[in-house]
Amino acid sequence: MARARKLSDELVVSMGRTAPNRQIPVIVRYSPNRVVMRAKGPALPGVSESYNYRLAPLAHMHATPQALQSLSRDPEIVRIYRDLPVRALMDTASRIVRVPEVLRMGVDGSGVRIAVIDTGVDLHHPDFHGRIAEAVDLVGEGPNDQNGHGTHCAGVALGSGIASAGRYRGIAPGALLYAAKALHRNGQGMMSDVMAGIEWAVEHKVQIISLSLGGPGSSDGHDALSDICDAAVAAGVVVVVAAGNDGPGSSTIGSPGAARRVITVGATDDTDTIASFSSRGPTADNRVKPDVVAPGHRIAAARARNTELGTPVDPYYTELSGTSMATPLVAGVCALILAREPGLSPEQVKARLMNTAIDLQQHPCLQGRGRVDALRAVWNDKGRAPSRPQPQPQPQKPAPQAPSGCLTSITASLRRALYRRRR
Amino acid sequence: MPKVDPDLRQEWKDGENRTFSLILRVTGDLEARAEVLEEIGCQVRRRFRLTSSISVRCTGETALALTRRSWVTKVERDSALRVFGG
Repeated sequence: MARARKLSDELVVSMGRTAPNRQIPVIVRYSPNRVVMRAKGPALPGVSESYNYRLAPLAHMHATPQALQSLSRDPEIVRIYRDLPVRALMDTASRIVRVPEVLRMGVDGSGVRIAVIDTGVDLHHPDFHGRIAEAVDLVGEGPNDQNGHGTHCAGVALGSGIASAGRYRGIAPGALLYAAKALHRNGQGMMSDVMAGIEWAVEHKVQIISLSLGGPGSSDGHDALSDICDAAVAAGVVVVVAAGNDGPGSSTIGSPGAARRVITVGATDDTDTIASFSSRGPTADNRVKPDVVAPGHRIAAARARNTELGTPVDPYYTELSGTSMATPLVAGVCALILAREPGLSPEQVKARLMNTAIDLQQHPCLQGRGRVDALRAVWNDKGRAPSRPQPQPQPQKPAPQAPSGCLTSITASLRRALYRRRR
Repeated sequence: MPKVDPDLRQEWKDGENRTFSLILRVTGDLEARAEVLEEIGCQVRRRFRLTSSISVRCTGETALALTRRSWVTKVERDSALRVFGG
């Protein structure tokens, strides 16, 4: 087999986007006639081996782009694949909070204006095509996203998923995006620049602001950023804020998560367990926060061009974890609510989310009122909540545009088999 | 409620010539207050109408003088923020 054809399409793309000193997770398939059953990879510089499969001539390893070129010259190697995530994706998170049911009823957030104040947005990402209403740069780097965080957050809230045939569709794929770049390419910034982003959003009459950022420590919600968030709510805007990633200790919610009138969001995983990293209440003045929780663990959504943040899935998507991801998910649910009932006040939207959340039987300072449920929230179903969902096996889905011979499903099966054997 | 956190005030005293990024809450006309702040040596960065606030950069010495103005009701650090995902 020619060298170029030994490398899968996804891997070739990853190699082109990966720095020379960074390693890429790969699965190597050896010739079945190979005599030596130990993978050769680790003998090469730039390769570290993490696993040899016993049921098939396969090995999982990490290798730099140059090392992969060397491996592709090995006559005993038949093919090298980019290791792809096979679970806990955006489609899973969306299903957990019952968004597909809402979308099937024709409610997709169309026309609702959402501001994402973050590291900017990839203005050319196909998932936002035709729906970026405004973009502003408040830090002097240009509005494009050179970090990847802002693009991912926007993708969770309202990405169309068109570059994944709908697999990584956001929560409100009809909503309009107002993107304010208030954080630098390193993912950090100043409180005053974020405050400027909030004023910009209010002046542009957005209906929802999503803030996946904050400061360290515990706050009483009386700092300048918390106050301007509360002022935005008073001006009629729903403000959704990340609780922070400083858990599992208590009193780890800082500014602006401690603001009184915002919707503060903690994170769960795909089994409805509170993520260990999710910041906990109470606030510094002993109020209960967060207000709700939502999936924020291993979420795949839009990836900004020329960025490597998180675990890239393919050129258009990457996987991130954090209350940053749970927050735009809730902002998207708010857009679904407002699409159906545009006259609701921010207080009514917050109450709706909290009153219809699924009680995870956790302390209020971990879960708030519970995990958001889009179907109940949009239809204001405050009836008896369904019992806490049990983790269910996810159906295996074909990887998008998988080339023939892709090992994703094979390796998943092998891993499951090995896991059973070890137990 | 003090106008300034005592620790921040001490930082100004210890570094009168150092530059600090601050957010001021003010009463009265925001533009007029911003003009006065520039006259006394502050670099005015942004004005916030929603909360009648102004972000500035100034020396510790100027910051100490600011707190003596009756229309400055609160001074706090323009803190660093970070994203919560990775």
